[in-house]
Amino acid sequence: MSGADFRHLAYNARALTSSRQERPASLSGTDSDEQSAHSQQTQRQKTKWSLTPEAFEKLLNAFSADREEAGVQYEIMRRKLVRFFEWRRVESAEDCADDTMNRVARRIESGEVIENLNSYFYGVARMVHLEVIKDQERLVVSIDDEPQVLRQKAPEPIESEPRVICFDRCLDSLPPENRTLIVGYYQEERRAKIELRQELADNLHIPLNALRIRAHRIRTRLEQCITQCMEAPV
Amino acid sequence: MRYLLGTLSEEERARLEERYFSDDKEFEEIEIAEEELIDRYVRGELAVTDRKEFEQTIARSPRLMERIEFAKLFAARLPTEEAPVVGVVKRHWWERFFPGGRGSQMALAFSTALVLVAFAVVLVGWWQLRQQSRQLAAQQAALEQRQRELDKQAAELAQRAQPTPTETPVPPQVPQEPAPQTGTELALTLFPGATRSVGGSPDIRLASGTSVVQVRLNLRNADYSSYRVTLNSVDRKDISSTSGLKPRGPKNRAALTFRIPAQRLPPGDYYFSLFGGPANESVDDYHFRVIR
Repeated sequence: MSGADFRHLAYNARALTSSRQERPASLSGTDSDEQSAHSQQTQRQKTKWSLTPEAFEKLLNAFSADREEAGVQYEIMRRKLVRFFEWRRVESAEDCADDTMNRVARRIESGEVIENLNSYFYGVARMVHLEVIKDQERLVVSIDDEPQVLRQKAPEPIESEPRVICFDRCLDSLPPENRTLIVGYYQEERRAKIELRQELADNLHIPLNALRIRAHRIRTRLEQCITQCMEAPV
Repeated sequence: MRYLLGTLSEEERARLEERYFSDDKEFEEIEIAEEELIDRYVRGELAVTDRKEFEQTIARSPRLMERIEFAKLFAARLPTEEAPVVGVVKRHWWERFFPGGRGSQMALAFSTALVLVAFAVVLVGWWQLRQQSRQLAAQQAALEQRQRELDKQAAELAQRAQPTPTETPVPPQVPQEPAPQTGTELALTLFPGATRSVGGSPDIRLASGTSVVQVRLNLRNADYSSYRVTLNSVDRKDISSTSGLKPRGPKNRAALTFRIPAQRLPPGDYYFSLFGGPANESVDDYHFRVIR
């Protein structure tokens, strides 16, 4: 991760602390907070904890003594947390991921020694997930069984034309070998596509799974590029 | 995939989550699986139940909704892009016969092995044929050599059998036992008195390779110390003759033997006339027929 990327990471963390007021995290699930009948939102308003720069610094150190590596690990863990909540069909997965991150940071700041940080994050994430489920159940009752899906704020419609323009622009900006790979990877349909991908892997002298990973990484960069392109002022 | 569709049991789900939280590669695999699931969803390749399950997940995630849009864009735009050749190794001409990747390499290896085996079989077959050809050539050469020797032998015999201008009768032959038929000689044994009408005369078939006929004339009685024999045909008397022939064997089973060149015996009916003693008294006739 570059220095610029890491500054972006630090900015995000600060933005997180300014916009969210967190309650103290609990890993045991037996705290009085969790047993309370009040909603999650009410509790978050009641007990406030901010991610301080010192706490964030300690969190990064827990990932790695090397600051660059710590930044990379932080981003990966945050992505894992977001996916975890999304794949468990939790609304506001990003918020839940940040909540988890803050709870772990608070524990570390309080001096708790964590042996396996990855497993610890997973445990906290499961706890947050349980709390969210309880909140959702209470909310469903309160709004008379209104389907959850309908409460999802629909994404704002995005004009297709700028997306296509950005797509073409970002595709052209790829290095030739990456462009070749991604275009070749998405050629054809079904059986022909499988054969073509195998042929592509053979030509690059790599296994098919390695080709999948390369294509996935290129596609991820392409999607990020398109997102940034569309957010940029015209 | 089942994890992403939300169809795993809680226990299975937790195991998988623990794995990907501690293993980045495992996590990347699931992200790739998510990508492939999205692509299949966009292309309408999911079963109805899977599609509904996935839509439940999508509906709660703006990120997944955005990815769906990207996937639609990829599906619509990328296949229309002309696949550039940069970075792709150009295929050899022979690879065109084997479309596909790793499978084609295996097919090529198998085909190569097959060609090599076929080549080896052809090579062995050719070598065996060559050996047989050599053997046949050697046998033919030996036969030709043998033929030349026999021809030479026959020519010598014929020369000996030819009457000289001053010696019309056939010179007396050294009496000898009748030889069995060989490639160039034919043994002919005749008994006195047999005619074509009485008792039947023997037929002899002279092959093209027969050069000499060795004749044995069995005598009724060896009353004379020497004999003269003339060869006659129906049309011509005294074709050739030989004299001074001594009977051999016991008196009651005595016989005269001599040789006649086969060329003097064109197809037809013949008989030998036997004369005995200095008085040249007619003793017996021996009939036979020559067939070629």
